[in-house]
Order: sequence, then structure tokens, then C-alpha cells
Amino acid sequence: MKKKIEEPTFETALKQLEIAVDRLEEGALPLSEALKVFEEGLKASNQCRSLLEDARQQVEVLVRDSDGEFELVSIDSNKGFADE
Amino acid sequence: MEHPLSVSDVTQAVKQTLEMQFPPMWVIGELTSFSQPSSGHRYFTLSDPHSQLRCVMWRSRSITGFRPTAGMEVLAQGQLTVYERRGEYQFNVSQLFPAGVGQQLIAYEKLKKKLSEEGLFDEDRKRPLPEYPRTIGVVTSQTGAAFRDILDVLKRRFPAVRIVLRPAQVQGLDAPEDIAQGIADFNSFGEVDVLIVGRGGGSAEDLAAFNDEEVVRAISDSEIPVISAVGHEIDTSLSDIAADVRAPTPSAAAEIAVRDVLEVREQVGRLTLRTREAMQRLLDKNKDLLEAHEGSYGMRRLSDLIFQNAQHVDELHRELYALLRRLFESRLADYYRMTGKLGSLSPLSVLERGFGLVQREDGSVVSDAGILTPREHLHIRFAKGEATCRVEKINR
Repeated sequence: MKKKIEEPTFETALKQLEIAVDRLEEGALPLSEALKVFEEGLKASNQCRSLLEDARQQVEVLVRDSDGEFELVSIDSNKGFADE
Repeated sequence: MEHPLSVSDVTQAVKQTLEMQFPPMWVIGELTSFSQPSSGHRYFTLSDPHSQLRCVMWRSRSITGFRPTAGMEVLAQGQLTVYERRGEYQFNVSQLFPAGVGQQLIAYEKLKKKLSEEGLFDEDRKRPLPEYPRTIGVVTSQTGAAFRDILDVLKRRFPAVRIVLRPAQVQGLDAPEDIAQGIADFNSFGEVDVLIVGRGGGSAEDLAAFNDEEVVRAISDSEIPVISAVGHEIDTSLSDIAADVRAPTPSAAAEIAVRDVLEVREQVGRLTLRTREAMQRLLDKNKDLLEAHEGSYGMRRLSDLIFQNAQHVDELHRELYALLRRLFESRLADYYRMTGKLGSLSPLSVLERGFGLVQREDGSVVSDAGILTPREHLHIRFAKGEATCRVEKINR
């Protein structure tokens, strides 16, 4: 069973930002199109930033339950669990 | 009688036959009469109860990890050859190991050869690592230093990355199966972008699981790219060779897995700045075009565009549109000053006459009280300045 995550990834957001820069820098867009591209670019930029801002380290352990299904159990990486 | 051969001819013929018949090989035996004269070359004999084999090992070949002494059981790798001056055959040794270590090494070499022939180590099988992984899967011991090191490095370099550990025994008899299963688990789970498989440094025995066929096959079968991180820099395991990328240590694996967030932030910043600058240039260019035109249509379109676009601005872009509006308004004002015309067509001149532009929080322009909800905030733009107001009562 493969899961897909739907929210935009950093990589796609960065790609969108790069595309926006390229298109605007070509300088050939009509103004209405340029505004749209500009808006998309800034939106992508904000997505990038917010994806980078997340400073909490998220650590989980992959376990199988009694039915053989996968389960993720969060652990707190800031509490020295590894030393116990 | 046939033409007689010279002694050299015979010796040469024997030498050629011998060297062609016997490829490089491993020989096990007891070390007897070891000597190393000042030349640095070593001369010794390998023996068993029935036979002896004379050996030479040149100074350029090194012996590591043990001191050869008479009576030891050893494994020697080399090539049979003929010492022409004496007309004797001898074993030209390139590697020498104590028998136990040597046998492990032979097993290692054999497995390496087999897997290599199957193509498991081929360069063209190596997959590129994702540049910005969202989730990193780790197969190692939950209590080991390796995992702790990986967490520390990731926290420093790219804290936003999610880490999923599949705990596995990394030494002992069950280790190979556990590690291989861990890699397979991640592949069926599917939610990770790259795998780090490994453990911290240890003795050759501690690292043995990473030379196990089961583990090596699991790594090469993995659909998810694998970074191997086994032991210290000097240890190279078959896992390392099968992995898409080999990291010298677990910390190094974490360094390889993600880019430094500071660098990435800077890159985003640079791109954003370039976006703004390019837009600015486009606006400048557009202004010249419009000014070259006498007609009013273009200018009206332009201002329409700003306000229409403002209707689907979200929170994040309010600031941007304010900036854009200011830009356009100053351009429009320039234009009116130059032409003295068109004033009445502009939304600005409507504001001059005392009307206000009413916008909702999302920037959309309000032309129907019916869409409003009590207590929501509205922004009213006047010819000069703005006000934020609250809806008290709605009359449809």
C-alpha cells in the first residue's frame, strides 16, 4: 500500500518560483499574464518559506501492529530516548 | 636426434605453461621458515603434512593486521611462477592473512564477485537522491549512536525534514534478516523519499551484517534510493557498494541527505527578489508603452486589471497588491499630469469626488451588501488613506 501526500512539496514550490522568475525575466509577457505569473511566484515563495520555517524535528518509529499493518509512533527527539 | 633445446628455452616453456595454466589463486597452509632479509622481500614456505610450496612476497606488498610467524595457519593469494635462475617454481604472494580472517575475506570476495556479475553494483543502477526529501527513512538500532548522530545533523541542517526510524538489530545472527526486512518494510510503506541504512563503527564482526547477501540484495532491490552509512571511513562493506550513495559515517549520510537550510533560504530569497525586480521592469516597460499611446483605452485596461486582480488576492498578497497599486497610481498620476485628460475615467478620480472603494478582508470589491455578514471587517479606500470598518447592519 503506497500513500501519496497531497500538499505541495518544497521541491514543487521551488520549481514554481523558478518558473515564475524565468518567465518574468524573459520580459515578453503581456501585463495581465505577468501579474498572474508574479502572483504565482510570490505564492510559491511564501510556500517555500513556510515549509522551511518548521523548526520542530518530527521523529516517528515505523512499527507493525498485530494485523501486520504499518503504524507510525511519534517519539520526542529532544528527550534522550536513545540513551535509555 | 632433434635439435636440442637450451636450458633457458626449457625453463621459459615451463614458465609460460605454468603461468597460463594457473590463474591467481588462494592457498591455505602452515607457515614455515619465514624470513625477511634486509632487501625487505619475504621468503617463506607453506606446508601441509605431504607437501611444501616455496613462496616469495615482494617488499611492495604489505602485510597488515598480523605478524607472520612460523607455525601459523595462513591464507595466501598469489600466482605460480618459475624462478628461472634456479629452475624452481614458486608462489608469488600478493596478499597474506591468518587463516580465519582470510576465509572471511575469501567469502567476501566470492560474494562480491557473484553479486557484481549479477550486475548489483553497476553504476547505471545508481539512482539520484531527491534534492529536497520530505521524509527520510532510517534503518538502524534505535539505541545506537548512529541514530542519535543522524538526528543531530538533520536538526541542524534541515529541521523541517520528517524522520521515520525502522529499528533494526545491527549485529548478531538475526541482524541481516532484520535489516533486510526493515528496508523491505519502508518500500511497502512507501511514504519516505530516501533511506539511510547503517550503524556506527565497530570490529569486522560487528559490521558483518552489512556484508550479508540478504542485506546487500535488499539494498539493491529497494525502490527508494539508499544511502549506506556503515562504520568509520575506512570500512567498505558490500552494502556500501550496492547503495546508491555511500556515506563514510552515519553523520555524513545525514549531511548528504539534505541541503543546508540556510543555503536554501538564501536561494529562495534571491529568487523572490528577482521576481520582484523582473515585475518592476515589466511595469516600467509598460508605462513607456502607454505613454507613447494617446488613447485612453490602454490606461483604463491597466487600472481595471489592478482592481480586478485585487479581487482574488489572499491574505499573503495584500501587501504586494498595495505596493502594485501605489506603483500604478503614481504612474497614473504622472500620466494625468502629462495629458490633462482621462481623469474622469480613473477610479482614482471617482475617489476624488468623495466616493469610497469598499473591499472585504480578502481584497474583493463589494458591490452588493447581500454578500456581507454582520461584524465582518471592511476596508474603505478614500482618495487619501484607508479605514477599516465593521459591518453593523445589513440592508438588502
